[in-house]
Amino acid sequence: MSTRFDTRLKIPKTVNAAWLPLVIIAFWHLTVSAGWVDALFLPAPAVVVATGWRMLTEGDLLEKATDTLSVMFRGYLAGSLLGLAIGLVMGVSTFTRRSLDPIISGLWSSPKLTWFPLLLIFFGLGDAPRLILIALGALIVLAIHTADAVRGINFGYVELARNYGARRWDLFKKVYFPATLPQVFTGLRLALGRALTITVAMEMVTGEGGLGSIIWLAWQSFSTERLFVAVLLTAGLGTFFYGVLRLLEPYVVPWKATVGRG
Amino acid sequence: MRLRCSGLSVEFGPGGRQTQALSGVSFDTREGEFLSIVGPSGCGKTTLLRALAGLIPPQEGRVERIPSHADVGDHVLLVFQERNLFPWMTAIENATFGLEMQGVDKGARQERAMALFERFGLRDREGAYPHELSAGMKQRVAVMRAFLSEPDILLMDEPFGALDFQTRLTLQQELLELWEQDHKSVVFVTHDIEEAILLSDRILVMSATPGRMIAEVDIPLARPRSVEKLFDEDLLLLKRRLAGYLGFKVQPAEPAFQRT
Repeated sequence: MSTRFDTRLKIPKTVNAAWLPLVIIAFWHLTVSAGWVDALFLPAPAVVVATGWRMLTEGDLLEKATDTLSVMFRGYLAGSLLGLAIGLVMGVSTFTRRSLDPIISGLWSSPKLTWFPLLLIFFGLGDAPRLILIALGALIVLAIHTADAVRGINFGYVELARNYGARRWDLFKKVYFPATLPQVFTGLRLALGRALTITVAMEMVTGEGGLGSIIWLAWQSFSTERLFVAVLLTAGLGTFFYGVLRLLEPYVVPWKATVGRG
Repeated sequence: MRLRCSGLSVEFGPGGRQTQALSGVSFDTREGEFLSIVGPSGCGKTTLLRALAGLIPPQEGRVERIPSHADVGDHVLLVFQERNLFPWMTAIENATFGLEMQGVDKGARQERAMALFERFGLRDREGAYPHELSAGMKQRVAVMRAFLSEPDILLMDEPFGALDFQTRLTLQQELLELWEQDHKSVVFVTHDIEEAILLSDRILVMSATPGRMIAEVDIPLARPRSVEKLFDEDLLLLKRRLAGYLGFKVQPAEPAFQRT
C-alpha cells in the first residue's frame, strides 16, 4: 500500500532500494582513502573486489561457495520435504500434534548449533552431521508452518467442495493443497534463510568446508580483505535465493492478493 | 426432487445451555417450484437450510427426499451466503467446479460456463481470481456454478444479502432468467420481502426464537417475470400482508407499561 509520502516523491523502486547501500560503500571508500582507518582493519571496497576476483580465478572461492551451497540445498530439500510430511500429519491428527509439540517447540527454541558437537561425535567429520543439522533446521520450520496451515483451513471450503460432490482425493487436490500452499511457501522461504545460517556457522566452527571456513581462517590469519569477500558473498547468496523465492511466489500462489507488496 | 420436512426441531449450543433454533417446522416443497422462506434475522433460516441439505442433524423430526422423474441423481445443493468461491481458483474454475466433480471433461465445461459468462457480463473476467472480482461478480459466479451443476433441488441462503441495491436488482433479474430455463426446484432464504415476492411461487414466513412457520402465502404473479415488477403498485398488498406476518404494523401509541 502506498502511503501519502510515496505518492508525492515518485522515485523508481530500484533507485529507492539502491541508494543507501551505494552511500555506505562510498562512505566506506572515503574512510579508507582519507586514511581515517587503517587499511589493515578495513580494506577499501576496490581492494575487496580485487581480492574476490583473485580468489575466484586463482584460488578456490568458487569451489568453497559450491560446497556451501551443495550441502545447504541437500539438507534444505530433505529437511523441507520431511517437515512438510510431518506438518501435514500434525495438522490432521491432534494426537500426533500433541505428541510432537514438546519436541518441535524444544528444537525450535534451542539454538541448532548447540547440537553440532554431539553430531560430530556421533557421525564424524564428513557431510553427515552437517546435512542432519541443516535438515533439522528446515524440518522444524516447515513442520510448524504446514501444521498451522492445515489447521487453519476454513472448514467452509471443505463443506462447499463436499456439497458439490468432492471426494477425499478431490478435497486434497482442490482444497487442502492450495489452501495451505501460501503458508507452506512462506515456510520454505524462512527455512532457506535458516539453512544458510546453520551451514555457514558450522563451517566456521570446524574451519572446514565452504564459505564459513574462509571466514574463520581469514580471521585467524588476520586477512580482513578475504574476510570481507566471504562475508559479503554469503550475504549476497542469501539475498539472492530469498529474492528468487519472492519472485516465484506470484507464480506459485497467484491468488494471494498482491496489494501491499512494493 | 421434493423435500418433506416434518416436525423439524434443532437445538444449538453446549449441553445444558442449548438454544432452540427451530421448533416443529413442517412443510413440503413442490417439484419445479420457487419457494422462499422469509423471516427476521436470527429466526433459524440458515439452520433450516443446512438441515434441509443434510449438513446438520435435527434433534426431532426429519427431512425426507422424495425423488421424482426429473432427478438426475440425488443432489441437494446449497449456495452459501458468503465465502462461496475458492480463492485459489479463477472465476471459470470456480464456475465449473461442480461440473468437474461430476466428471464432465474440460472442453465441455468451459464451453457451458463461457456461454453463461458472456450472457451475464463476465466476458473477459473468466481468468480473474475472486479477490479481483466485485462482490456482485463473485456471487454471480457462485449462482452460475450452482445452476451449471444441475442439482435436483437448489437451496439458496440469502445469496444477495450483502449486495447493494442496483447489483441486487441485476442479480435478481439474472436469477429469474436462469430459473426460467428449466424451472428448477428452489428453496430461497431471504429477509427481503420484496425479493421473495419477485422470485417466488410461494412464500413461507417464519418467526424468531425459536424459528417456527407462521404463514404461507402464494404469489400468483405471471411468469416470466422481470425486476420491473418490483415497482408495480399491485405488489403493495402482498408486501403489506407479509410485513404484517413479520410483526410490522402501524399501531396507536400505547404507554410502555401500565401501573395497576
